Amino acid sequence: MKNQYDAKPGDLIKGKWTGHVWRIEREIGRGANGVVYLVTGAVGRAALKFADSASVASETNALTALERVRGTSPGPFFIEADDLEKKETVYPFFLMEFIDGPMLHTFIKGKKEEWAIILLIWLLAFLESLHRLGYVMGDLKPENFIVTNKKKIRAVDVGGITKFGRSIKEYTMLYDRAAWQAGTRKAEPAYDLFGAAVLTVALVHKEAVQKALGHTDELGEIVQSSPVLQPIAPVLCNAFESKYDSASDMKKELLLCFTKKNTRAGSRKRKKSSSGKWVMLAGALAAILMLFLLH
Amino acid sequence: MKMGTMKQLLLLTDGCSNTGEDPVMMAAFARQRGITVNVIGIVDSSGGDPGLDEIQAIAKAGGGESRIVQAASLSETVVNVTRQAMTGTIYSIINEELRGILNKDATVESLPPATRSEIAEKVEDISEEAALELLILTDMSASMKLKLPAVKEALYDLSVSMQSRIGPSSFSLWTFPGKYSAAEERIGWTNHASSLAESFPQLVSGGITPTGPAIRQALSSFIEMDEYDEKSI
Repeated sequence: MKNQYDAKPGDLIKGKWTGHVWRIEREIGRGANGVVYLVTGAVGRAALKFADSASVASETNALTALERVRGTSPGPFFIEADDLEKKETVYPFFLMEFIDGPMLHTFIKGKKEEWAIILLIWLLAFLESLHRLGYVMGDLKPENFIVTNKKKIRAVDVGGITKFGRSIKEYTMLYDRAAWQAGTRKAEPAYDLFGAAVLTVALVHKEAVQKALGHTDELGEIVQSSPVLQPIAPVLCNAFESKYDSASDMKKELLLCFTKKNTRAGSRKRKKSSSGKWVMLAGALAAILMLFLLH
Repeated sequence: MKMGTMKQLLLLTDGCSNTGEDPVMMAAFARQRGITVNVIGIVDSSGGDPGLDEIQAIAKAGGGESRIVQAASLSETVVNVTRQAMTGTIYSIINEELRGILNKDATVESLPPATRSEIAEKVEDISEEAALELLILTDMSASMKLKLPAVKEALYDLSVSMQSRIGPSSFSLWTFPGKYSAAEERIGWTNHASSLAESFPQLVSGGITPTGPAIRQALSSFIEMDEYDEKSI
């Protein structure tokens, strides 16, 4: 990025238009189009993002558009936009609410893989409220979401948020419907639902999903052969085919699948664990063989 | 604000021009004619010199964007460059208007943030709805051989993005060096962007890189034949 302003912890950022001063605490995110810092100012903690003037202006618009529901927002609340002037150069930035919590992929680390399904349910609730406002998320990478302590998911990057009917502003290949050759890049609920489904699979089987990029049939195979995701396979596969028009439809079917799974779980579990043992044994044998061959 | 058709030439290359007119001059000429020139330099993992200075100079003269990327991230770059050049074109028109109203140094940045946000919304509307004519000029010299599959994929990807817009888009594909001239038209103006990738040629041609003359010839595609006169350039 050109004209990037690099701030260090302790730096004071004084806004040219408001005169407000913000103290840099630490860097909390860095993307293709800007850097985000945790700052403190007169109003307390906030997130400050430096980006080019056009991105600041359009993200400001996205943030305020999400606040149309009083008292809540699927994204961070917008505080203000301003400029930093240093040596005749203008560095535009804006301030937003600092949302504390782990990102999706950090949240699931160390937890049971089944949490991916819970995250999908929460993510669908998030998408439901976003779609109600007439916007799609666009960029569904796990780094863009925070799990709050209220068991809710909120977006922390709104760069990809796009009005219904337009072409998606920002996306990440791995979660992009067009990159999987499974549809257009038109902003519609089904675009986000596709991404949400891929995101769920990638939370559990990241490498396999990366290898399959471009082939949705392989994506389906990953789901079918995954003990964790197999129970919700019908829902994921429908999402891969853009069959849901709304996040609430997908959520309903997901909940149905999920509860059904629990009633049948007993018999399946026994089978899985015995086959699991054999895989372990075979793996150990292979490892010993490898050691011998290497010597 | 009403916007005419946005015209862009996207040059994909992996090396310095080595014969014929200066490509920077040709890019400046294109800009004069209302055509934005974007340049993407493709490097391979072993590094290699894509002629960074020349790439930047061509894009600067052409009023467009330039990037140096590895073949693997070409798809995303092609889409981003095209989008940014579209908003860049609209912003430069706005800046020009502002200079007329305010003073000669005025840009959108000299306005307060709230006004900028309003402008950004309009700019987004315009770039979403405007008609786009995009000519892709691809270097097919021998060194590009291994990069061609990535180029093909990127063109497919670009066509998907552009066709998801509200406004109409048309595309044309030129390659250089040509068999009998500096550049050759491979696919004439079409709204069916998918044909770009489908009939993408897989054979490279000679070792020379006549970037300047290639831009000149490709421009003829934008400029109507009756007003196009090679001698005037």
